[in-house]
Amino acid sequence: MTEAHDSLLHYHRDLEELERTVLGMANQAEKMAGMAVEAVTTDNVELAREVVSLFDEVHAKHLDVHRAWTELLVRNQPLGSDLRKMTVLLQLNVTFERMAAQCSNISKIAIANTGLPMVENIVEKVLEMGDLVRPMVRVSINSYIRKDLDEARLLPAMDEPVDRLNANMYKEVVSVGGHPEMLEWATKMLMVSRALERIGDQAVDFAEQTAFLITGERAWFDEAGLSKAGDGDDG
Amino acid sequence: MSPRLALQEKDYSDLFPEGEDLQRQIGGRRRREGLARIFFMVVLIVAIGALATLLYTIINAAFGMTAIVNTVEPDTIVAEMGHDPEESGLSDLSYDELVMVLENSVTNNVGRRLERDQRFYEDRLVFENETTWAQICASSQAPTGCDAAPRDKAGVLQLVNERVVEPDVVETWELIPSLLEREVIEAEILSAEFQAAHPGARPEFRAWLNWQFVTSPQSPNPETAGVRTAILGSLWVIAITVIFAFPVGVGAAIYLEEFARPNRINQLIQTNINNLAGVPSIIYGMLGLAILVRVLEPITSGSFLGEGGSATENGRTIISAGVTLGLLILPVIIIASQEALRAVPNSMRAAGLALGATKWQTIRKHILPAAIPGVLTGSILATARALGETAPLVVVGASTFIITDPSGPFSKFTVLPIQIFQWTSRPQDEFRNIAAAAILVLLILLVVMNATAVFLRNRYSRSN
Amino acid sequence: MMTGEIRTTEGDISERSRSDQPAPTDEQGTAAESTAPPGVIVTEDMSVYYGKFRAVADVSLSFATNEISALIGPSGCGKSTVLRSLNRMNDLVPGARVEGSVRYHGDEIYDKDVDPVEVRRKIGMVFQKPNPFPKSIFENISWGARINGFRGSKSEMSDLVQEALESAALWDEVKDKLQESGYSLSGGQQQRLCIARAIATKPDVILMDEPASSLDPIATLRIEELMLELKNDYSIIIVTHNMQQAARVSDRTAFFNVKLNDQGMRTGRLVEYTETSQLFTSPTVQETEDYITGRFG
Repeated sequence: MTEAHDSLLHYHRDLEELERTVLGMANQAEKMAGMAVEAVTTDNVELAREVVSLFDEVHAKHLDVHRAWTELLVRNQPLGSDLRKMTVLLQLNVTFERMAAQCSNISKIAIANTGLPMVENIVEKVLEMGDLVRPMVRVSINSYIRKDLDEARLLPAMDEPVDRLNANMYKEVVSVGGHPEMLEWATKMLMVSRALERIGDQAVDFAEQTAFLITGERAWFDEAGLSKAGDGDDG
Repeated sequence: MSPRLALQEKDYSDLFPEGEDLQRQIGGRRRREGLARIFFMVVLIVAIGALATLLYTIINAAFGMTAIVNTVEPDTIVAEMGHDPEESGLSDLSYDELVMVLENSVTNNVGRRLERDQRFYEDRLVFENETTWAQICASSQAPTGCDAAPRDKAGVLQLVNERVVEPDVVETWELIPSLLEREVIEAEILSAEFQAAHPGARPEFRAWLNWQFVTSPQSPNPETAGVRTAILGSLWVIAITVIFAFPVGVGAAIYLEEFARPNRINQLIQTNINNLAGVPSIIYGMLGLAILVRVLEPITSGSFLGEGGSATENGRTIISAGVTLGLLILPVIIIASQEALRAVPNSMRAAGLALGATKWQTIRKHILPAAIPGVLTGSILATARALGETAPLVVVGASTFIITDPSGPFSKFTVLPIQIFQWTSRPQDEFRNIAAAAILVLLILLVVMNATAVFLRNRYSRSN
Repeated sequence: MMTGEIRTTEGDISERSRSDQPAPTDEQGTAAESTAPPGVIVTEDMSVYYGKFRAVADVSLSFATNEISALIGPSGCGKSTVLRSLNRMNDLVPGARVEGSVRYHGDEIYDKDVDPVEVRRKIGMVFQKPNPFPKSIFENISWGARINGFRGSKSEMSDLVQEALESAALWDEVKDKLQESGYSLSGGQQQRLCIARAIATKPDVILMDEPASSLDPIATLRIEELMLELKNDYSIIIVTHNMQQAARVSDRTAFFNVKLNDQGMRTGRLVEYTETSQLFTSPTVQETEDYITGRFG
């Protein structure tokens, strides 16, 4: 069998570069998540500000990616796996930008919360969520790079504890009691929890896109990570 | 690794000429091109020159000054008939007077022959006696004079000219000298020595190719001989040739190109046809002689139809000649038609068949009409060639001396090329002149045929 | 690939109506195809030989009614050969031989007692390079009808010609010059004329061999638009080397590829045949994926 000769070499190279750029946004988002969680749990305003400026970069890069994507589409008529990759990258461009936006929101809360007294429980829970969410992003990135469907299907299971922690965060806030400054801090931390939960969901979205790229089937993951078509009412 | 990368390792660019080198190289190429063009032009000029020389030679011989001596001067005859030669000429004599002149001058035998060809009077015979006349007219081989209308004055006048005045061309000159040095020639003719050798000689500019030449029959006398018999013979023969060869040839070509499958047998047939196109024409003559003249004599002599008398009761007839020439040009017509059919693009056949038409429907309506220009060109060119064939017809038995016009496909005949051949082999000068005139007639016929080919071809390709 | 049990019937192919299709029993169900009725033309293990050379091997396809099916693949893959075999135009190539079965409405068209002329009346063809006859526009269309025994009056023939030209989206452009030669039209118009000519004989199926590849882009798009209109009344099978064209017009696409066998012969084979959007988004066979993403050997 003769070697396959790539007749669309230039297009494929450009496509790969676009892919790398988009994955770079994901890497960035993962890093920013760590930094944001640290900033908000250690009252590190400088770190928070760094995250916000990193978001500006990602925000701008989102537009660059959009332009590059459109140009690739104009010049080429992608088919097959190229076509699937193009649709996936367009989607992920949005997903990662939103991920980075959540990190930026967390950092902005850190800046707003500066000086306020922290609640030990809540800090613990937030740190726990951070430790759960960051591996989700990592795993989703890896499953994409390795085109590993089984790995991708792990995401819903990883998301479950995050969802639970977020759902229970309300109770923590309520139990803070009457101290006004603490209450202020705790209420804002509720938004941090929400942001982290969103990042987790976006990682699951990423994994669903990966599954589409690999199999060509469009479906939402159920809790077991198996595909199901139809309405997904998980946010 | 891509081929482009491999090439970049060695720089070939300095192996190409640049700058002045390049100019020189281009100059060399242009010079060679110039030489080629000159060569082809020279070749063309040589070809044109050869053709021009041919035409010049022929035309030169067909027109020119002649010195004519009358055996008996017309004036003498007029005077003998009791008229004043100053006031009247031969043509002013009455019909009866002219007949009387003939009576006085020609021998009885000649006179009887003339009368048998055509009578002079409706009511009386001049040379023949009544009983003999009645006998021969009643016999199975009655001559034409028995039924034909009697002669008219113009005819008798011509006879008197031919047989009594008997103009004799004693010397001829070519056209160019005749035009440029006319007075010199006239002076020469009227000079004393010339008159001593040929008393009564007078100069006359003669166009050997004239209407009379075309309409007169053969005659042993070059001054009065004409090509009418030969032209009619040629036309009859060609007609038979075309009627036979065209449908057969085109039909065979259609079969070979469109229907025959490419197996061994058809390959063999094709090869043979191609080879037959190159067979020397005299062999076709021998074929014609053996089969058409001898074996198929009952058919070709027309005796199965009860045609012709004993004089024509053999197979050396127009139909034999026509079919022989038809066979000669048949391979050429087949090949030309095949080429024309092949030139029709296959897309047309595909289009027709894809509509659910049969092969023949497609051929008849589309392929053949598209091929017609080529078919016609090839056929007419082949026919033009047949017009000029001499050897095979000599073998098949064209008469070299025949004065009666052909009356049908079963007549004896002669054709123009044979007539020309016969005349050029005669020693007298004058035969050269009329041979040249006959060649011009032949050339004119060929030009007309080719012009028809071009016309028909243009008409058919335009209507497509 | 779809194979179905199809009851063969005797009788005139051209009289067979489209409605009496027997229900298929499927032997190898592939998700999309097993519930589809057998198509207007069905091939089963069809191979085409030119002499000893096997141009295409073991093609089993079912072409659906009132759909456009596209055959794509690299050169030498046999797609044109397959197309020409569907209306026995391949018979014209000396040494061409078809093995296996090709059924039109259930009737085997390569049976000894089947007249190819009849087959071609019902399965028309349009060629890559437009080939109108060097006759008037009117006659181009009327001739096909006449040789197939059209029995109408002169005015009925005029109506037929007009209807054909309207269906081919050419009527408005030529209605005032029907007596002019077909050659006086532009390339795109000539091709539409050829399409009108093909549909004037009222066929069932129209085969198109790269119908737009010799036309400019605008003319190409007009032909494609026309195809999408025509599929309401006819079944269309097209061969195209332009994947985007196949993606634009066809409902189902068959991908052929050429393979070198151990004797060094290049034989074409059917690789995949499925819904067009499926084939161009997520083909199931790696060969197809390689071809459509430009990675072929």
